[in-house]
Amino acid sequence: MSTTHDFPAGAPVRDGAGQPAAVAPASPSGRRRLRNPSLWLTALPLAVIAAWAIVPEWFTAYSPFDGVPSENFRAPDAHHLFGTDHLGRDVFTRVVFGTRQTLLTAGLAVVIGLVAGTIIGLIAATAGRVADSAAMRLVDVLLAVPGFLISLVIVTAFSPGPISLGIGIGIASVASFARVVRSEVLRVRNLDFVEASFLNGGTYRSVVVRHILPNASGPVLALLAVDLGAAILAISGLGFLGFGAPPPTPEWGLLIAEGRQYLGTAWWLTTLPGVVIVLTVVLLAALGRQLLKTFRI
Amino acid sequence: MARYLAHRVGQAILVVWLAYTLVFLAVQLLPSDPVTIFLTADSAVDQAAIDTMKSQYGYDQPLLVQYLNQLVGVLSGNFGYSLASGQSVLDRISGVAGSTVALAGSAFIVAGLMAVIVVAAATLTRSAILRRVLVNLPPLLAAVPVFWLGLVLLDLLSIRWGVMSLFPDGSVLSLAIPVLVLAAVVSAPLAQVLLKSMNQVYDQPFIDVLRAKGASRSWIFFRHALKNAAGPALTVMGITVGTLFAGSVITETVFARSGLGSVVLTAVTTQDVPLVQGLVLLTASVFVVVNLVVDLLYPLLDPRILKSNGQGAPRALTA
Amino acid sequence: MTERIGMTSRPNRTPPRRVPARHSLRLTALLGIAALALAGCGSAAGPATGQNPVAGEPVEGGTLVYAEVTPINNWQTQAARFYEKSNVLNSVLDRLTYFDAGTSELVPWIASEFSSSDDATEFTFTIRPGVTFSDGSPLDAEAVKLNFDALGLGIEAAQIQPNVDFAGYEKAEVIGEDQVRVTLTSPNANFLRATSSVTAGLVSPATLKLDAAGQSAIAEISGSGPFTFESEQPDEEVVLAKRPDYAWAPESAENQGDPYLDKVVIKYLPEVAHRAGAIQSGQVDLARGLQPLDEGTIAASGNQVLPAQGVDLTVNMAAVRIGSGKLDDVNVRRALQIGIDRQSLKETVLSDSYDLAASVLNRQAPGFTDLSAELEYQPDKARQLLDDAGWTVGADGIREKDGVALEVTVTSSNNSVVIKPAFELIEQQWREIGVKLINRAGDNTFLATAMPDPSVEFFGTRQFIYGGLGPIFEPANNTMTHTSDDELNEIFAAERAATPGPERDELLAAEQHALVVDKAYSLVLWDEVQVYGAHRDTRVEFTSGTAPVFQGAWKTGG
Repeated sequence: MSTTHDFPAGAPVRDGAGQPAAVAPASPSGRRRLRNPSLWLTALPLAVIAAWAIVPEWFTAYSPFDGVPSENFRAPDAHHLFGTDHLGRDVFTRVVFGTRQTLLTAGLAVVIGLVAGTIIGLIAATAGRVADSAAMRLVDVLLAVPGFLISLVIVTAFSPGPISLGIGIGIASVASFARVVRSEVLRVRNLDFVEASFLNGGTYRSVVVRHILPNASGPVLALLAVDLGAAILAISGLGFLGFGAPPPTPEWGLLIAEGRQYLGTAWWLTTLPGVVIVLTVVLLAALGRQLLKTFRI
Repeated sequence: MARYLAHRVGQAILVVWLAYTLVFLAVQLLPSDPVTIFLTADSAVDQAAIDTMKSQYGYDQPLLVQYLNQLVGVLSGNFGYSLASGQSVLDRISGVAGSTVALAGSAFIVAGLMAVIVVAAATLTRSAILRRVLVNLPPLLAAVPVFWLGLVLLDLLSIRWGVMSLFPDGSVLSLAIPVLVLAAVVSAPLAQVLLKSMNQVYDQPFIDVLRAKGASRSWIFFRHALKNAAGPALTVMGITVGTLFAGSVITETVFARSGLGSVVLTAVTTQDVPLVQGLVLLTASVFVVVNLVVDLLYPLLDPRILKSNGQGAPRALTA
Repeated sequence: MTERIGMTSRPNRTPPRRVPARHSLRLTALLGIAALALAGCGSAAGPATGQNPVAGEPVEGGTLVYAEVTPINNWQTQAARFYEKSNVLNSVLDRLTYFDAGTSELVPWIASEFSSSDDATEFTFTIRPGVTFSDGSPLDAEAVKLNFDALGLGIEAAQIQPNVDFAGYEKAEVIGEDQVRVTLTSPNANFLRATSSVTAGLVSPATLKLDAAGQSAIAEISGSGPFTFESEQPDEEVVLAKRPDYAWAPESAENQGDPYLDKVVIKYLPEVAHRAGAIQSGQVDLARGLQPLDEGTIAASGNQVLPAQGVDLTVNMAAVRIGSGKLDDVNVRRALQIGIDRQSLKETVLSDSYDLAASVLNRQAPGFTDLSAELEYQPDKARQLLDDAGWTVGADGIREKDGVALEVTVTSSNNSVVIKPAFELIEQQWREIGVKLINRAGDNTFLATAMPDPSVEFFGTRQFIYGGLGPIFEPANNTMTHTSDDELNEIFAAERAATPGPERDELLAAEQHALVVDKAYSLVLWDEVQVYGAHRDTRVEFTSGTAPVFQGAWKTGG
């Protein structure tokens, strides 16, 4: 069976059908691109942030939980890079110690969204009309109930913590992953090289894994980068609405959500952790794009 | 076409019903019940009063009976009674829905326009620096917490510079600023997906063919590339309804606007089941309508979907 | 100290007028009715304090914009036990009596005279003539009787529960033309005080007949107050307009006539950070819930910081629930009581507007007894008490007993700006004596389920106590402690039956001692105060329940 196209067949898949080996990062061109300085410019700061999550105590001498009450609301200076909060705790220390909880929670959310979403999207796009219909109705239901409402209900039902927040936010992102995966897989699977692999005797699994997923993954990775950031932001949004983890837990979203009430007087409490969040999310997105370029997947 | 439409409307109703049912089950997870919360909010009440009220509202019935009663009520246009506000669910929601529709609707349109403008400018500009800036704009916007953006803007515009009111006073700015804040956040993923698929479209030889034929850059963009690249963005736009809803809740809270935001928050906080259910019916309906429109537009943009699959559903990959 | 409110709220009252005989005051009130045109004359002295630098006559007219904390949707008047509601309804509903914080006495309002039988089971009210509800119907003895029935028995048709302060209500009868007699099944010396509460606000008989939805809608509620509902934008604003024919203010009020202001617009500023800015930029004239950090900013900008003392309320406290079993032992509760460094609390998260608690009652409340000696910070003694109670320090520094960690949870609403930071600091302090506090203060979602849950150890709160301490601590399922303590209840019952005087004061002192020291059911923190920020042109006073009195407020028109 052949498919008609509006434009020359095989056109959009230079990096797929033409040279499937390009998927492997070990190609000479890939290695050359690893020396790309802008990749390292995004990766290095992220490595520092990862180190904050793993060994926070290497980066600060203060306690994230105990402050000096008489030294509260100190503006940023050489001792307290990000100033001190209402209880005299060092804000930079709380940011550093908050990294782990933040990344674990957001990471859990993204993993849930990615795994469940990819499975549903893939089944929908490749396993036949009935499966597609069922999977898409499921996705529609997940989307039709605002994920935010689901998060609220889950966080309310099981008191707020990394797991409940991660699950609540993760479920909310399943549907968008599923939709994008399905839409991409549909695009890719109609390409001639996929048809060709089938005609050449490829099995369902081999075609999906070797050809469809890699070629459909561009927008999915773009979404992944955005979604990790979105999850961090969603946590802070829930914190803003009063659905965050209880204090004294240091967590980025909570730090800006809690610090905001002093915005008029102690601007650093919400602004500096806010800058860290924005930078991290931007860097993650940039890293995603850099990796896309580098490995041409 | 009529058959297709009927099929899709049928699906839409199915989705709304499933959403309604799913949420009915989900709210059973909540640890208390609306009557106890309502009565104990004020002071000590005896169990007898709680029981009386529970039976008045039917909360003492078995779950299935409650569910069926609610469903019958909904079908006959009775959406129940919000305990916490003392109003009927319909009154409570319709009293403020207009405000949210104005905010979210405007933001939806503005977000779409913003995404197209950013992508158009990034694609068409000859300046590499400008393109770099524009390409990085969506991720930057996507990285700023909505409430934080709103609070900082309010602090600057209203308190420090005095150009707008802290309250929704009906002035242009008091709607425009929340709309822009909400649209900025919603447009970010839209622009990213559009940019991504735009790059893929521009990688295709037919663009080179058009260029060779002497078509202008903007002609190629708006007449050919945009149409070809719009699919994934349209998908994202369709599913943005949920994001828009969440964003509205936060934006309304920041800007002290009335709307569904506060209804949602109090409904969940007080476990006001009929109100939560009413909200789900509303958002699910909006969602299915928007996506019905998107699905109808999709084949127009990318005729391959219809041509290769008859009814728009993909066939199985396995031969 | 006793004139704390006077600093801002009653600056212009001259001593001779402060202790007037009841009858002469009634005459003043009557004169007020007869001479509407003289409205404002009573304030000839004008305010002249450090806080209100601009002295002068009240200015007629204008609109006052008042920023409340969060919007509410259910305005049912009997359930007005929180500020968002009572602060607004205070200007819409009149009550039979008014508590004058300056003299600590009940003064006549709609009841021109009131009396109690010696055994505190029968109360007679004489209803002031000529008062009407805003719907035009007369506020007469019959209307008062209907209101009493609604308060004492609830309104079944509208699913309205009886008002807790009116427990033991039997019946009300109209006697003669203008008198109502209330009979209780058991003595209650607090009954008269309860009639001064906003939750006992009088509404028109037509309002009482509305269904639940009708009684919840502020547009439908018809009272006899100085302001009436004009319009609302749900969740955004409520507009009240003055009643030009209002002439029945409480006897102690400066302004005996209609309000100076034409309108009051109630708006909502849920964002704490915006409240100070809203006042400084002149967008609101008055805002509740100023946070301590912003007080200095407001004062420095020439605007006003107005602390309104909550004499009608308990102090802010962590009410103890023993349902989880961890706080069964009174010595554990005592250890926690003295494990709180209140002075550090004041210096770190509060401000000079706040007085540290010395009892469960506010310093200015009738019957207050000073227990501050029992509340000193003694961490070593606290550790000793915990050791003796069998709670030994575990590996992580948290005490354990029989494999159970001394991990306790606090819940509270998010409406107080200082309560969450306060518990954050207490969390640090208690960690030092080996107690882990899970701070869920300010989490309204958790509060909804934690309030009826006896196993959540602490409820951070302050409560209106128009009916005395009994109603909030006595019932077996009371949301404060979820415990019915027989010894405590005996004191409550005796206090209610005692006639006002030294004997009753002793019983009141015994109640406080039991709650704070002997049984330590209440870990007291600071005297209830609501810190308002006001624009420099705003002149406003507050009730003993911290509600702004818009009837007597004005703007200097600067």
